Amino acid sequence: MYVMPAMESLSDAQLHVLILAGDEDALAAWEERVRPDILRMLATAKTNPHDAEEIWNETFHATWRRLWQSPPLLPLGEALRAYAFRVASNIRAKRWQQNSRNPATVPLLDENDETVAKAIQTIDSQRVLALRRCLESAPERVRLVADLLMQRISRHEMAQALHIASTSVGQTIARAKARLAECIERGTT
Amino acid sequence: MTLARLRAEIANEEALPEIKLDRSIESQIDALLLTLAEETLPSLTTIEALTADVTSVELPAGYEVRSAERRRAVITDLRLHSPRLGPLLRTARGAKSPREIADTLGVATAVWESIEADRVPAAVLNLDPSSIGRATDTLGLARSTVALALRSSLAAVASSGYAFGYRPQQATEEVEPLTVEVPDQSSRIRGWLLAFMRADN
Repeated sequence: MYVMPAMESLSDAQLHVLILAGDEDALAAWEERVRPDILRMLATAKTNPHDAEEIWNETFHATWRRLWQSPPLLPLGEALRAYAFRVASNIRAKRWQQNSRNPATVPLLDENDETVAKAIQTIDSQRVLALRRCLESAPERVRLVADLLMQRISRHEMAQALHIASTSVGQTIARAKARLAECIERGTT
Repeated sequence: MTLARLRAEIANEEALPEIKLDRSIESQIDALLLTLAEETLPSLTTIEALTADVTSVELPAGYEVRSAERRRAVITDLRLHSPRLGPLLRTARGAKSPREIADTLGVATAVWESIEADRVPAAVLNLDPSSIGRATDTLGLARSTVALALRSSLAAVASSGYAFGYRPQQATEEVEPLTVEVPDQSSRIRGWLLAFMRADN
């Protein structure tokens, strides 16, 4: 005989199992846990309520579509929150790029930049692996800056996330990138 | 290290001399980070940095109603696209005999065969979750896939009216079998699945 605990007392991983099994209440409980972080992230970028709901809607569907497309590949537990967060930041960055070139909303990591686009074409897997290793051994502050960049955030968001002035963002990023570049060169030469 | 400590370290760096990074090196790092971003999830510290000091966006009126519709759509999608339990188990069993699997579970071969045939998927709920877990692990199936397929099969069988067992027509019934009230099994299914996944740890 199995006793069903209340939804609130279940871990993320347990909720996911129930969602996998088609449990709508568990999906509502998961949404309540994940949505606030994503809405706060969207608030930093001054996203209007209508756009925020659209982005959350796309994130929600994209996350769970991945589930039925390849259930074993979808991370369970807390990692799924991170997965949904990344999906939301990617969707938001794409919208920024489609809707305007407002400097306030250009991601600091911009694949539409001509020199970056060219560099992407010449990337080899060894260097990606080298970067991964360098990030693992880098000081936490360098990892944090790199991880924030990977969320496709703007200069304003970076300043707010790190509690620094907007004018200091460029130098903070440059230091982190210089350290990574040096490490990659050491590792691949 | 806490986020506050990391922020303090970064702020301290502002006193250091300025550095000028070559544009081509910067583009290389940007390109590598963009590539890595495709396969990397943000850390909890990163999420905290982006969300800790911010008030959430207010969603437009009527959000809750639309949200419930979205959830229903996701669950429907899940059901439509999930594999059925029987075929999943049958394919995964490969060259092994049904008896071999049934023996590891301590059940009659006929029980396993009825599950594989997707006739009585609810029979799984009568079996020990950890034993089923071990059996499906042996077959190389992820437990999340098994959970997905179980619900898909239960839903399909429930819609055919034979959700939790088969009751043949009685001699006293002239045309149709008597209607049988099927109890709500959702709590039982939830409990079984939680035990099934717990046994994974």
